Amino acid sequence: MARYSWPVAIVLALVIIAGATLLLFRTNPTTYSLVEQSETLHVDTDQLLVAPNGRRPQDLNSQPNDATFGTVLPYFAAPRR
Amino acid sequence: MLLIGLIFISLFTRPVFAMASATAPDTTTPSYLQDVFVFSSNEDSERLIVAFTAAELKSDTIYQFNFDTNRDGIEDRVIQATFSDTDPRHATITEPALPERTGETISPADARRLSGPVSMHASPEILMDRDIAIRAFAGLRDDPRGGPDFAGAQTYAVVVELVLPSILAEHKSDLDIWVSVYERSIN
Repeated sequence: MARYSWPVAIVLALVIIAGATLLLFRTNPTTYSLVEQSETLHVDTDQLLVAPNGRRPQDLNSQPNDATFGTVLPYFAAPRR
Repeated sequence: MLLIGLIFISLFTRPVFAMASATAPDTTTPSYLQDVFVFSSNEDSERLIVAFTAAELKSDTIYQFNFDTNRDGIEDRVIQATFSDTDPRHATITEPALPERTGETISPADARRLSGPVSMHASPEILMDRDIAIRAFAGLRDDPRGGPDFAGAQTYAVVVELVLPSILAEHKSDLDIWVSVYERSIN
């Protein structure tokens, strides 16, 4: 028993030192807090209208002006200069 | 041994916070989001396009598309968009990923991401990568809202095209989608 005690003690000491070091230098993960959330939109993907030819997206908050949607990604008209 | 146990428990545990999908807006903060849109691609019925418009794209902020596939009010997949404060500005948009955390406090998702310029010109700069199954756009556009109040107005649009199987199990077609905005917490 005695002849195994010192290696066990060394291993335990190393584990404790390693754990304490990790704890000491552990950086908190960057967190982000909620500031705004849209309404939830329930979507049936089988029923969705297509874009851009369909030109009427499901819109949560207001009725879009169809004429402003483009014909390719990003579906929105170019900015005005 | 108890000390070792405590050290390792503290290393690998994080607070878990779940919330319902409907959160009352905080009227004391300025509004970030204008509209949220969902399209089906006319090129490929397996592709979905989600978009939001916003008055500005802030740095130190995560704009997150949330996809709830089992209607429990908790996001099952997320797409996160962040924007640099450099000049010119850069957008970074993740592919659909499991959220690291859900609820009112989140962390950046561990996912592959597209990166590129925030488009400020008439010709849109589409962000894409052959190894990532999304296409994305972020930039200035004409405000799509109708009516005289918005005539000539401009807005920022963030548009992501994704493949449905990346968020939805086979033979399922319904899901809940919303967009949320998170600001970097001060630790």
